[in-house]
Amino acid sequence: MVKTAYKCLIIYACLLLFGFIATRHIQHLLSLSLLYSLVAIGLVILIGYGGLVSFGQGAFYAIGAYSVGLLLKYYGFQNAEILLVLGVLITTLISFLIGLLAARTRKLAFAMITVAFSMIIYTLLVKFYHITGGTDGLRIPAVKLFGILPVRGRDLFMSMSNEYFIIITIFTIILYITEHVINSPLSYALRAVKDAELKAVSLGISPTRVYILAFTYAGFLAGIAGTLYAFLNAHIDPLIAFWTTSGEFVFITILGGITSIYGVFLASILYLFLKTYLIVYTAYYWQFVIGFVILLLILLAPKGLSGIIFKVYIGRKVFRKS
Amino acid sequence: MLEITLLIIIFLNTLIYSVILALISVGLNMVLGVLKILNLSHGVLLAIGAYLSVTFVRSFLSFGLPIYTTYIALGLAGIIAGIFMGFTVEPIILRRIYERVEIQQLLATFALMLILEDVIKFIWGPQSWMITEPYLYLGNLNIGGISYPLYYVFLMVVGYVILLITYIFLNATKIGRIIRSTAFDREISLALGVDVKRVYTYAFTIGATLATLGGALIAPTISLHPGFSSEYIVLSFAVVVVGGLGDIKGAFIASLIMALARTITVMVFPELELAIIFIIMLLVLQLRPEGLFKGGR
Repeated sequence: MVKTAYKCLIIYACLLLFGFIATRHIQHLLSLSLLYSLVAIGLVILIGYGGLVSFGQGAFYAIGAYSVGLLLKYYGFQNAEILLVLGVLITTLISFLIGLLAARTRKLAFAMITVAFSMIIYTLLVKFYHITGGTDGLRIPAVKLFGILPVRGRDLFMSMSNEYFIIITIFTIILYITEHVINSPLSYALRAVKDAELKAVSLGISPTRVYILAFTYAGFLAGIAGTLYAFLNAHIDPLIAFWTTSGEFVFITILGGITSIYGVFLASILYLFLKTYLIVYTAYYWQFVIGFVILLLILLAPKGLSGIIFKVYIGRKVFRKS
Repeated sequence: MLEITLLIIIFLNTLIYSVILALISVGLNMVLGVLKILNLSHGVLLAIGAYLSVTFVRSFLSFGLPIYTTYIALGLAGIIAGIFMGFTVEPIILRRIYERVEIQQLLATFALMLILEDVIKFIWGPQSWMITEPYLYLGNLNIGGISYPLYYVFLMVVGYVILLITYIFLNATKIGRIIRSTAFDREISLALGVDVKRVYTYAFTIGATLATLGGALIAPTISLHPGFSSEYIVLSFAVVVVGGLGDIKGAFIASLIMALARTITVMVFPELELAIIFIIMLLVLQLRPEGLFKGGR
């Protein structure tokens, strides 16, 4: 436990130091990749430990972001901490309800339920444009955290931007909590259900309950990421609920080697920097390069980034179905 | 009188929308049934069919051929695109991932979707394309005072003919029966001497051709822009789920149900136009995860 705390503190110190030297643009990108890795960490629990592939995390991300946007626009909440808590609460509640529906299904049916849910959210966001702003999206003003610190801007020491500071702080706390979750009985029950559901049932584990908890936790993380995204980006649009965004999250999880939360942390940084600079240098053809990389990774290195390292050190061929 | 007109229009809209859904999802379901892969790039095949038909129609017209030949151009574009994609994508990429776990298959086809979308942008550019000549040439139909584009009726008839041909092909020809038996049990078909590899290629090509033909048929009715197909693919997921995974007949009936639900929702509560399809999908996954029609067989 102490070791985990040290690990998180070291990561926090590195991120903090980086904030003093990096330009605002790099800080923005890094913040965004931390948000992506929050969602992907939820997927690590769901896919890596639970074996359930959710193509709907984008919906929870969007629910988090839109809770902030709509609460700001219609109810005039001006405190960032209240918005954050409410946004996360709403998302967690909805992910719990969807978990109730989805946890009875497995494999492709589960993926399909999550796709269906995220598409429902997407179409509602697009079609109820008089409320949600439709495809134009919503603008998020820079509200203040605890009444002093605006969620965007540069009121801190040196080049550190406020949004970066807030995001790395929350990210580190979540990292610490997730380490505990991964070493908790829940996580072991999840692994047992994934490997042998019948055996797990005979040991008194309820697969449905375990899956609901895992799904809710993943939704909770996506909700935090979504609310912070609203603060970070100042503008949100329904495209974040489209199934392709969820596909990106799943890809990052695979790239990070599905069971390693530090793997997905690196993978999301790599992915977002790659994507951003590809857009800068190739304009229209970034998808081609990303797709090509995914395909090569799947065909040649199926265990993801941490798998490549693993392979180099141990030299074992793993992760084949038969 | 007005009620009858309204009913006719609901009926027509349902049939037209269902034929588009059916062309995509029957193909998707066939690939899923035979190859056991959920092909996320299936929607892009539709887009490729649509874009290629733009090129064909444009070049037919620029050669000075009369406008009625553009219908041949549409058909040619659909078939050529489908056969080309079928015989390249399956042997080069899909064949390598049959043994992999589900999530890798999904991700590989997702990657394929991204690649093909940018190939489209590379060939046809990022701007949007329209070919209205085949659409305008047929003019309008007068239904009780409301003018209705005749092209939609044409689309519907041709679409159903294509689906009928596919049905006959799968049920009455030898290769069709082999494809169905491979979908039913791969091992036993292999033991009986079926060249499963070739059957996979054929099944994928037929599925792809259905999608590209669908794309060619809808090309004159919409403005094509990059990424327009990613909505169709999730719609066909919904249809496939409701009809039952791998069940071709189920996919056809499900597309009728979905189209009817959508047409009625458009009239009653237009905001839920697309959401209704996914709500039905969610309900079916909850109540009958194996699809609506699995019990009856």
